[in-house]
Amino acid sequence: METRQHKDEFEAILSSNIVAIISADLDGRITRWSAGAEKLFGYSSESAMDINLQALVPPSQQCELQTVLEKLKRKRSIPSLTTQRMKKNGDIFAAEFSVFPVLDDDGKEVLGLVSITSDISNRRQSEEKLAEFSKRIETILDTVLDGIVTVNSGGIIETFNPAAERMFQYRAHEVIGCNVNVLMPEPYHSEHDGYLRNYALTGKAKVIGIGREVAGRRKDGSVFPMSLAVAELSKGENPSFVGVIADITEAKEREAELEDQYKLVKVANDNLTASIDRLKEMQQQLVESEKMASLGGLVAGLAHEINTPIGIGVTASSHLSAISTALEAALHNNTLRRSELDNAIEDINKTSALIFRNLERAAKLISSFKKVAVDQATDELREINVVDYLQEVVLSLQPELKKHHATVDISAEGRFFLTLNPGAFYQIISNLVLNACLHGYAVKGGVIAIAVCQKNNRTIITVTDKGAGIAPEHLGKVFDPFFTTRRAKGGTGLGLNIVYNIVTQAMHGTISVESEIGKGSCFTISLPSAPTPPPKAQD
Amino acid sequence: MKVCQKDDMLTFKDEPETSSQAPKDRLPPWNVLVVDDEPDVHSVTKLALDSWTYGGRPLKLTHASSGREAIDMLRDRGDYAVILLDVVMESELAGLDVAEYLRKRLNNNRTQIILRTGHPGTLTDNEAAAVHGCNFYEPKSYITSERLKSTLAVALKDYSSPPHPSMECGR
Repeated sequence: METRQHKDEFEAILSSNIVAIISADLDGRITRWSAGAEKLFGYSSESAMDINLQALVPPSQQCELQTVLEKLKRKRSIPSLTTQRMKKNGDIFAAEFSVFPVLDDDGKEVLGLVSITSDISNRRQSEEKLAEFSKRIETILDTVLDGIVTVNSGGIIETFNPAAERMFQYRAHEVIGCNVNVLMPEPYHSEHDGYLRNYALTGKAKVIGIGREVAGRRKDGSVFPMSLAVAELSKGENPSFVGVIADITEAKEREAELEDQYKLVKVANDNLTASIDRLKEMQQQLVESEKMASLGGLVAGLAHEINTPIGIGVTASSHLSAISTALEAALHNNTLRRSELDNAIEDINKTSALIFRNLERAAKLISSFKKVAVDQATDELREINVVDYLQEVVLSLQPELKKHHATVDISAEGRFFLTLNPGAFYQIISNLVLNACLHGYAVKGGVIAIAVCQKNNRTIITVTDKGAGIAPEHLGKVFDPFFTTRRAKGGTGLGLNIVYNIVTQAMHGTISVESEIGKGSCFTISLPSAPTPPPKAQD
Repeated sequence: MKVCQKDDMLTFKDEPETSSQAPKDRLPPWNVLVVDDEPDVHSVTKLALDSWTYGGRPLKLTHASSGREAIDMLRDRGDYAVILLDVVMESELAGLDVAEYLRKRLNNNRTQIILRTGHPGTLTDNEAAAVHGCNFYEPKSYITSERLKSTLAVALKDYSSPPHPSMECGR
């Protein structure tokens, strides 16, 4: 039975065509040639009996064969040898080769050998490919700028690439086998094992598959910011992980620099905004002081204007009292002549007429001044008779008009009433009239025509002079703030800007200018005819 | 002397004989130039000074209504004793231009200048008067007829007997 079983097993092995089983004597003469051998080497069982083992070995390996045979003679077996073999057609292939001595029944004499040969050329190719692949991976790992560290499920470092070496200042051999937490500052250093255990238990990833910014610790204990991406390399019983690390110190510094720059820019921007606000405030103040200056000029002009009738009144009334004193004396002394009395009465009539006329003039000046000055100082809306008001404005500007030999001619088609802030209206008209004096009639005087008419439910007021005109290059700028051709002479360049603002903003109107050099200028103001004041419910 | 009662009829003194004073006895008037752009100033000046005399001589008023006109008149004749001069006329300083023209261009330092003004433009009162060789400065609102006459009296006195050059510093 046992022999039978052995024989069957032996036959089965010999029938395998995966491996070649060859028996031979110690001289290399072949005694048994299996089916696998036929397939591998290309010799049939019959022809194999005529060849020596040497025929299966390429010339370069003949020595090896001799060494093997020597070993066998000393009863030594060779369980595995990677070598080359040669087919009948001369092809040489990589082979795995085992050989055992065959002893006699006493186990003393070596009778021959039995060898098992398999073609490993495919395997070799795979191995070479793998080695090549590994080498590539290694090159990549060596070259890549990111630190790449692999750890096993226990957190023990398995590989550590050169970039990681540079980042952490450890050599690979110093950290391979260590817990990866040596690369972490607290609190990660102490908590990392817990993270791994948690992941193993719950499968819930905190970092794996998610990049995040963490802190790394160098060999010298210094800490640096790094980005970390972790991937699981293999699942199952013993997962391992790869961490890809980038040192983001510079990026962080740049970020901080950017932040600093942003802060600087923001401060500059804030300063700029503040400057603009200050400028606006200053402009407002200038506008106010311009308003006050126009009021001041008005007061000075009016003081002069009023001193003239008052002076006449003072001289005249003192003259009256002189006449009366003289009359009294003459009467008392009875030296009064009829002709003297006649003369005195004539003088008294003339003088009192002068006094009356000049007092009236002073009163009129004061009342128009008062109206204008009060209007300048309040923002109240009031209904005005446009033409009457224009006449008052012109009266208050008489000193300036006289100085420039300018006269104002007011014409209107009918009666016009506007509800507006009279002070603002005064500013508009006085600015336009004074501009006509200062610019239009700077050299010689003339007529300033103010005309009022109604058009499409709007009141149109034009102020026209036949003076010097505005240069075409200046025409577009006359309403700009601070534009003036008279800065050296004290012009602020705000007059027409104030006019523009009042007309367009406070009165919801429009203002435009036409002009031609040498022919004069015409300012046209168009105001809504019924600017509705807020209705007073209680009234 | 007869005592007068309140209800007495007024009795006038006899009119003087018109022919009693021979023209040859009458002294020549003082030539006075009144410069002002305000007609009523001329009127009131004329009224106040009509019958006034200084040193027995009446005034002969000539009227100019602007600085320009005054300069023309001063150029035409140099025997004005006094100029009553307004300051602010066709320009802020038109009157001072007249004064300067008289003193510097016409080299006339004898004619007395009385500045009369509402306010003297951009110069302060005394500066204006001194710099432009004006002799008197009278703010319009203070000129009573008495003050006008007394100022004129001083001016005419100075005109008729100019101070000795050596005395001028002491004035």
